Parts: sequence; C-alpha cells; structure tokens
Amino acid sequence: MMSLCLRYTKDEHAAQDILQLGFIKVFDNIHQFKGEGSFEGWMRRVFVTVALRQLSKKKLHFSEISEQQQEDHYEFPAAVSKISEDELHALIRRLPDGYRAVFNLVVIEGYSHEEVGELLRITSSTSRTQLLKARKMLQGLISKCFNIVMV
Amino acid sequence: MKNDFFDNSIRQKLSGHEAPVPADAWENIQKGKRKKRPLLFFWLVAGLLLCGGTGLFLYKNGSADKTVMTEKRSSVKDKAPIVAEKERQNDPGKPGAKEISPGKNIALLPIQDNAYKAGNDVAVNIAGNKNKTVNSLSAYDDNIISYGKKETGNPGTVNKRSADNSYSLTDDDKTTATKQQYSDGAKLAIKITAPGTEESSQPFVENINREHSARKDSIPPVIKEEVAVSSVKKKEDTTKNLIVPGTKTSGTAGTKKKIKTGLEIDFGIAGFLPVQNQRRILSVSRTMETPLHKAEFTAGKVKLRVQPSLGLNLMLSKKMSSRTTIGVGLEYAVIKEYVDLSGEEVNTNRAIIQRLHNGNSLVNDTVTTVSSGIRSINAVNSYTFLSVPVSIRYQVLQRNKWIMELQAGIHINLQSKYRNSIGGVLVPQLSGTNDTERNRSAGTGFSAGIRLNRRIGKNYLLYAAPYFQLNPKKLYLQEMLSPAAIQRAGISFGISYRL
Repeated sequence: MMSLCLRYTKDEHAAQDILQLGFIKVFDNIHQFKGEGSFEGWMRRVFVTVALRQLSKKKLHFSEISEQQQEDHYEFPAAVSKISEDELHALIRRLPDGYRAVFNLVVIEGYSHEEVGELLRITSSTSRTQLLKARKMLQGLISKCFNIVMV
Repeated sequence: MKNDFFDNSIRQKLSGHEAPVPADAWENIQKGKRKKRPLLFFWLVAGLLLCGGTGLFLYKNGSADKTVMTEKRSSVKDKAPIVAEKERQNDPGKPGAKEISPGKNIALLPIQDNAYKAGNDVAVNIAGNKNKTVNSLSAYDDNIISYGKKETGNPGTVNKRSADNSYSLTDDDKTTATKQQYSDGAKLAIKITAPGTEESSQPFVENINREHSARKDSIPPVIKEEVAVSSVKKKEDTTKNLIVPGTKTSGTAGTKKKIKTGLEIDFGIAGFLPVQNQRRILSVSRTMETPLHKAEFTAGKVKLRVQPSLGLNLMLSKKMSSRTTIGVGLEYAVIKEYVDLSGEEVNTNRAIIQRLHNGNSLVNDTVTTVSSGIRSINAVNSYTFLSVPVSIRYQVLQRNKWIMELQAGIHINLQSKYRNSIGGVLVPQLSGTNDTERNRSAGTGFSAGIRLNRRIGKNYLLYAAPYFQLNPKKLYLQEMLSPAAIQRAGISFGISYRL
C-alpha cells in the first residue's frame, strides 16, 4: 500500500499521510466490505480514493493537448523491461500530479477513462489526453534515464 | 497496440513493487485514530457540562425551596417548643442528652444542612454499642433523603430539629421483617418528620415500605409523600409544610422554562435599484418672479438619474406553522434622484430711476434690462418613504443551517416626502398629454422574492433576500418632475432574532 501511496504523490510525507488516512478509512469502513472480490482490491480502491481526495486539495491541473500532439508519442516499450522497479517508480513520481493520477488509475489500477473522469471530475476525453501526455512524458524520462545509465 | 504493450510492461513491472514502510507508520496510524477522539472528547465534555449545569440548576432551585421550608418549620417549632426540647435530650451531641440504651436507639450526630450533599459521610452512633457510618447521604427533594449504608444498620426516623439544623435518627426496631426490607436495597428512603410531630414507629415503618416500594414503581415523590404523610400524621398536620416546597419546586421550574413564542424580530438593510418608467420630458420650465426681477428658465436638456438606494426595515414575524411565517413591520427607504437641467434663462430686471422733468420736478421712470444666458442646474432630490410591509414566507428548503424561503408581501405606504433642492416651481412639458394628477403617496406596493437564511446561533440567523417590489401607482409629488411609478429591485440583508 505504501507503494501505491507513493505513486500518487511526489512527497514521501504526503504518501505517509495517505497511508495513514487510508488505513483509518479502511478501519472505519471495514463493515462495508461485503466479501465480494478480494479484500486487497477493496483496500486498494479505498486507498486510491483517499489519495485522489488528498490530491484534489492541491487543485489538479489537467491541460488539453492538441490532436497533433496526441499522435506524436514515443514508441518505447522494450526499454521498460530493462529498468528497475524502483527506478520506474521514481520516474512515475516525477510526472506532474494530473498526468500521474490518470496514468496510475488507468495503467496501474485498470480504471476505464469513464471511471477516471468520474473520479477526477473531468471528461473522459481529457482523461485520454492526459494519459497520452503522461505516457509520452514517462517514455521521455525513461529514455533520458537510459542515456544517463548507458553513458 | 504499442501503447498497450508499454502499459502492460509498466503494470507488470510495478505489480510486485513494495516500498519500505516507515517504522513509525503503525504508530502514526494509531495516532491518526486518536485524532478522532477530540470529537468524542468534545461531546463527552459537552455532556458533562450539560449534566453539571442541569445539576447546578436543580440544586439551586432546591436550595431556594429549602429556605421556604425552613421558615415554615420554624413556625412549627414555635408552636411546639416542648417537643423540640425532647429532641434535644435525645441528641447525644448536646448536653443533657438522654442516654440511649444499647441495641435500642441509634442517634445521628448533629449535622449541618450542607451535609445533605451527596458523598458526605454521616456518622451514626449506635449508643453504647458501636459507630456506624452512613455514606452517600443525598437529598433529592426537601422532604425525603436517601442514603446508602456501608453496613446494615437499624433504620429509623430522621427528625430534623429546626433549632440547630441537626438530625437525630431514632431506632425503630419494631419488627425484624421490616428491617430486612429496608436493607435489601442499597438505598433507603427516610421520611423527615417535622419537629413537634409524634408518631408511632409501626405506621412510620409502613410509610417507609410504601415509599420504598413506590419508588421502585417510579411514582413521583410528591404523590408518594402525600400518601405516606396522610396515613401517619394524625395529631398535627404538617403535610402542607412538607409538600408545598416540593410542589413549589416543580412550579418554579415551570415558570423558569423559556416559553417559545414563535416570534422573530428582523432587522435588515435593503439595497435596491429603483426603476422609473418615466415618460419622456420634452422640457422643464421655471419662472421665478419678484417685483423687480423675473427669471424665466427653460431647460431643453433634462437628465434624471435615480441612484441605487437604501432602506431600513424592522419586522416582527410569527411562525404560523412549521413552514409558514407571517410578518409585519416598518420600512424606511430613501431614493435619491440626480437632476441635470440645462437651457436658456432670460432675466428681466426692472430698475426705477428718477429723472428731472421740465427742469423743475423729479419723476419716476422704469428701466427694464433684459439679459439671457445658459443656465445649468445640477441637483440631488430625494424621496423618502415610510411604509408598513406585511409579508408571508414559506420555507421550501432546509439544509443543515441553511433555510430557503419564498416570500411575498404588500407594502402599505404611510408617508412619502420629496425633498427638492431646486428653487422655484418646475413645470415639465411631457410627451403626450400632461398629467394633472398629484399623487402624494406611493400607495400600496407588492413584493416577491426569496430569502436565504443561515442560522448562526441558537436564536440568531442571518438572511439575504433578493426581491422585486412593484408599485403600480404613479408618484407625482409636489415638485416631482414627472409622474412615475417607482419599482425596486434589490436585496435585503439582515439579522433575525428569535424571541
């Protein structure tokens, strides 16, 4: 869960706050868990909700990008396997809040864009564009990371 | 597809990722749980304060009644000094006290009135035998006291001596069966008999039994007492003395209880924009004439601007039902009007001069000088209205401390005044036919709007009420330039106090 918390915020102290609030939320609402699905999955949803609520206090900024920019993305799938988990984690945390939130929700947690839109109170198209931009930025960061590593 | 592959790679990579958890994380989580406790603590403290306050209130009421009771007992004492002397002899704490035989009588040491307080121990001396302590002595009304006994002791009659506020507990010791009934509970009700009363032990024991059983049935103490005392006191009727204070207690509490009148008093300030559907003024003329001077002013350019204005209102409202409120009050409003007039003014001055006629006499002659020029008049005129608004409000929504109401009302105009700062009589030439009507009152207006209330305390609420007021009647006051119906669109802010 700490890993999840860290992925949603840049600041380690903020992640600890999310962890703390998340556990409190879990304890307080454990009676709502009906046994449908895994407990871990339910906990993750609770933690994601708490993390997003904390992030919403920071007024997430979601910028639209043009269609041309949407098409212009890196193709960088193979390099991911060569980077360590911690490094990848650190790179994700370097993404801006809005990108990171959408990227985490869609790519890691598996939410649909409609669900993300509902959670973040944005349109699904904004969610898509944010994901594209986040993905592009992350690929750029990975690329940069590799250059540094290989030099 | 490439994106999917990238996403899957990331997901797989991070699926097993575990971040180190800080050592104090669990402690912080526990602290976080504790953070909620201030709320619980707050309610606990609030509850305690409430209980304490209620207790204090009741205690004070009890004290007041007790004074009344003491005075009445003093009067009883005066009537029966001999009995008081007998009681003094029974008191082991006083000189001349009668010796109490072991196992027969117990005596309560002299105590002060403040020993009634719960938790105070009262020493009971069983004469010649041993000392016993009665704890938790408490008085929950003026006539009955109860206490929990640390040890099973002999119950008896508590006689209050009005001379020094001391008490003696006389052992009853009639039947063992009765005593067992007394000792089965942690508390025992004891009847305080007024000085000068003499009663047999057995009836009093029955009394206590009745009280004891009645207490279990939760019958109000006053009723129990009436039953008990009426069956016991035969020689002297002290029932009234004992019952009245208790009765007064409930009476006092009843009068102190705040009566909900359902009345509210509102004080508000209304800012509004008057709207005049004025007829077009073609020109305004004014003629000012003195014997030697005449000024004729005709303004071709006329500009009238009604400014945003203020009004004060004081309303008394009564809640007619859970949703409906009716109010009546007074409203004072001032409307300012900026008047710009520009036009030609012709001044005719007459001067009387004397000239020599035929060389030997003086005759008067009149010299008339006519001059003309452009005059501009900029002035601020004002209307004041005093009216009685009668309104009805209907609550349509309530969310926590917010209440939304629809309101409608009529405004009966009591007085209208026009303050004209332009000298002379202005006569407007209006488009269409000139109106000869002279309405000096605004008549009755109708208003409608919504009112948003925000409760800020137990008895106070703030409100904002946007409204529109329609005045069908045209105003044509004494010097008003043109007849116009003044409508108002505005918002009223104020504070309401529940009486």
